[in-house]
Amino acid sequence: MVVQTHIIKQKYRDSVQLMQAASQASRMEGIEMASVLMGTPQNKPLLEEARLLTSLAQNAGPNDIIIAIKGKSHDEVQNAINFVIELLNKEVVSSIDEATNYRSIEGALTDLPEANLALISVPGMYAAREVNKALDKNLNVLVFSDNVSIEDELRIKTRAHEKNLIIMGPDAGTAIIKGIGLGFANNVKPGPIGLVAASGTGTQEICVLCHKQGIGVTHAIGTGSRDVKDIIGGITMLDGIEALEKDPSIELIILISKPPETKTLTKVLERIKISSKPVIINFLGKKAGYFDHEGKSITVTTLEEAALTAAAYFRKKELKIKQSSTDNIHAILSQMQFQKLKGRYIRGLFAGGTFTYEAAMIISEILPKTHTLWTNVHLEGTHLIPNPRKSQGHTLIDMGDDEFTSGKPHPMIDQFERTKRFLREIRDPEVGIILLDFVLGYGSHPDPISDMKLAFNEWIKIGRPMPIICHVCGTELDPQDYKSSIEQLEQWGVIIMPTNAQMAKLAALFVLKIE
Amino acid sequence: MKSNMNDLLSEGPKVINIGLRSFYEASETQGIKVVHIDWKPPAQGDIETIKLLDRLL
Repeated sequence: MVVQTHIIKQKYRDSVQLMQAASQASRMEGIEMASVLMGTPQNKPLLEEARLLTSLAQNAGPNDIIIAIKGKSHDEVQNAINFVIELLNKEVVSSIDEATNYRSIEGALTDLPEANLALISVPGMYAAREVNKALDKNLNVLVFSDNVSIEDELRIKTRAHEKNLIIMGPDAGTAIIKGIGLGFANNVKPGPIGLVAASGTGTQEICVLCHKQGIGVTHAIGTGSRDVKDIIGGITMLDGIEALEKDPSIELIILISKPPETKTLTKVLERIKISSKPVIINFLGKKAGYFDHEGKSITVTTLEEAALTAAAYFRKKELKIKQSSTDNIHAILSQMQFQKLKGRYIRGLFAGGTFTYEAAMIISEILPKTHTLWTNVHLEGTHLIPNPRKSQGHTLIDMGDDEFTSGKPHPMIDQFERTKRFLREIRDPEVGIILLDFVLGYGSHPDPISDMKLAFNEWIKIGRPMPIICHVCGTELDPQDYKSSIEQLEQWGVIIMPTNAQMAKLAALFVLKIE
Repeated sequence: MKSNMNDLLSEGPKVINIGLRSFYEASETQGIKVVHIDWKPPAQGDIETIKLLDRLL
């Protein structure tokens, strides 16, 4: 094996551009590993861990790009390096008109003085500084960046609150404001629903399912997952409820997060009690308890229930839990030929963190205690997997977790890691059923299903009776072609479930049936 | 210039994008007003120098 590094001095490219370059290089002939990173002190340990930190890379500065590649031969590695250099040079000519490409917020405001939102996705260590500059100019802020310290989060949120501005995030992957998707967001029709959410893919699922029920979503305010910790005290969640309450276009509020910490939970519930609009609460499961209040608020446990309950409210003007029928699941199970099955374990490879959490919650509730469910999300009733890169027994993995995305693109953007894992799982004789989620929308991979074509073909070629269940979180309005994505999966013989919750229920009942 | 949280919801987003170019492109595709800042780490990315500069300015 040969390791070579190349430094491009004094050039900055954003993390998505660098990760995509690395990902494309790692797919080239003879290449085992490729990293393309800024030479910051935070990034060098990642190279060291991957044994790619040469002395040349060690000496690179924070404004230099390090290209580090490992491969079979010198020629193949050099070829990949040349490819990356060319790709990064090409990126200079972007679709952005130079006239609207500014160096500072002041400069940008000369062109767009009516701006009301800063969308910040710089590396986390610089994010709070940029947020403060945006607050100086009285801008609301969506902070996509992660790795912002909790102390900085408290400072910027307190400051924004005092100025009657809102901070969505940090680490807010998704938001919809007046029907416009920001970050990772689906294109859904606008309507009388407003969300306040500390969950990215959870928000996407509820928005998509409401859209499919014929009810639109106008706003989805992303709070960032730490907002419901007591140190932050739900500042964005409370401001978000207030803003949705004041907006005359919103008739129903849906609240979603993992269970808030004690003091924050009390504050949020007190706020909901005096809300002038009905609220559907989803704290992802039953652990936090039920908070139904005189027909004005109701607690649901799954994302699907939140959307169905919302749709039912608009039909009957009554807040009552609506669950999906299980007829479809039982019809699918009745058609499966269980006698040919060999493997008995569930393997779920998820792109969405909340999808993993929800599926783990549902499966662990259905399966008897004799079954152990291994996962890399922290959830009571499941076991933390010792090595997230290696499945054991029933395993559900959030492949968007830091373990997999440190210096690498998120599986919603790039599925290289997930595809490799999928190929391993379909060859594992212990596997009985595989679960996959596909998240469409702005910011996501342009065609995630075709991207896994070769892997699905391999599954068909192996010919082992091992069902694959997929859930596609997307709408016909999304930039990807939703209809042809579904048709493609059907052609391959994949079982498609309309919601993540139903995918999880089917998998659990499948296991019970083969016992 | 004055923009509070309720103006944002009633008027819809008019965005200054700082960071990933792909978000600029997604905003532009949806037909909203957006400008992009060609962001680079300040002071060669050195946090101590940045803190010093912030104190001086």
